[in-house]
Amino acid sequence: MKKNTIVELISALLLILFTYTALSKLLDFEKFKYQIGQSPFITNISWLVIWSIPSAEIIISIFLIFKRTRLAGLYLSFFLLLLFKGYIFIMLRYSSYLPCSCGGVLSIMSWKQHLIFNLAFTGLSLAGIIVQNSIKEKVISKMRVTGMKLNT
Amino acid sequence: MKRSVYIMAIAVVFAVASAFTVHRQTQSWNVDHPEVGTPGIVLLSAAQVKLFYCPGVNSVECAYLVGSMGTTIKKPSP
Repeated sequence: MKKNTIVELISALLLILFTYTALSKLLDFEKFKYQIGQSPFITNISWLVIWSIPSAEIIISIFLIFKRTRLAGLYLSFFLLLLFKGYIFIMLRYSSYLPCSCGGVLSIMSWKQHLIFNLAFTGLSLAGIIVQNSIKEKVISKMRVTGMKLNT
Repeated sequence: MKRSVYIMAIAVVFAVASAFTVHRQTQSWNVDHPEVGTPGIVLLSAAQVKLFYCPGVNSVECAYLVGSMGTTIKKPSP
C-alpha cells in the first residue's frame, strides 16, 4: 500500500473520531457541561475544558482534511490523545468517582476499555506522523537532487 | 488529490451521520442503582440502559426517563 494512502486512511479514521466526539459533545452540551463539572481534578477549570476540548477536536478535524495542514493535524491529534490518556490514567489511579464525559457511544465503554481505545488511536496518530514525515523527507531529497525550489 | 477529497468527504459524512443518529436514539435516563464509579444520569437508548444496567426479568424499577418519571426500565428484584 502506498504511503500516501496509509496517511489518508489514518487521517480519515482520526477525522471520524474527532468529528463524531466533537459533535456528540455539542449536541448534548448540557450533559457534557454537567459531567465535566463532576470530574474531581478539573472542576476549577471546567469552563476552559468545556469550550476548548470540542473546539480543539473541530480544529484538528479541519486540519486533517487538507493535505497542507494534515501533518499539523496529526501532531495535534497525537498530543490531544496523550492528554486524554493522562487524564484517564489519573482518574483510574487516584479518583474514587469516575464520571464519563465522553461523547456518544464512547460513554458506554468502561474506563479501562476507554484507555485501550485511546492507546490505539494514539498509536495511529504516531504512525501517521512517522509516515507523513518520511514522505516529506523523500520529496525534499528528490527536490535537492533535481535542484528544484520548495513551494512554501 | 481527488481520491483524498473523496476519502475525507466520506469520513466526515459518516461521522456526522453517526453523531446525529446516536443523538436521536439516546435519551437521559436516571439509573436508580448505578454501579460504583458511574453517574446516575446516563445518555443512552432504552435498549442500551436495559442491556448495561438492568438486565434480566422486569420486577423492580431500575431507571426512569429524566423529565418523564412514569417511563421506567425495570430489573430483577434483589
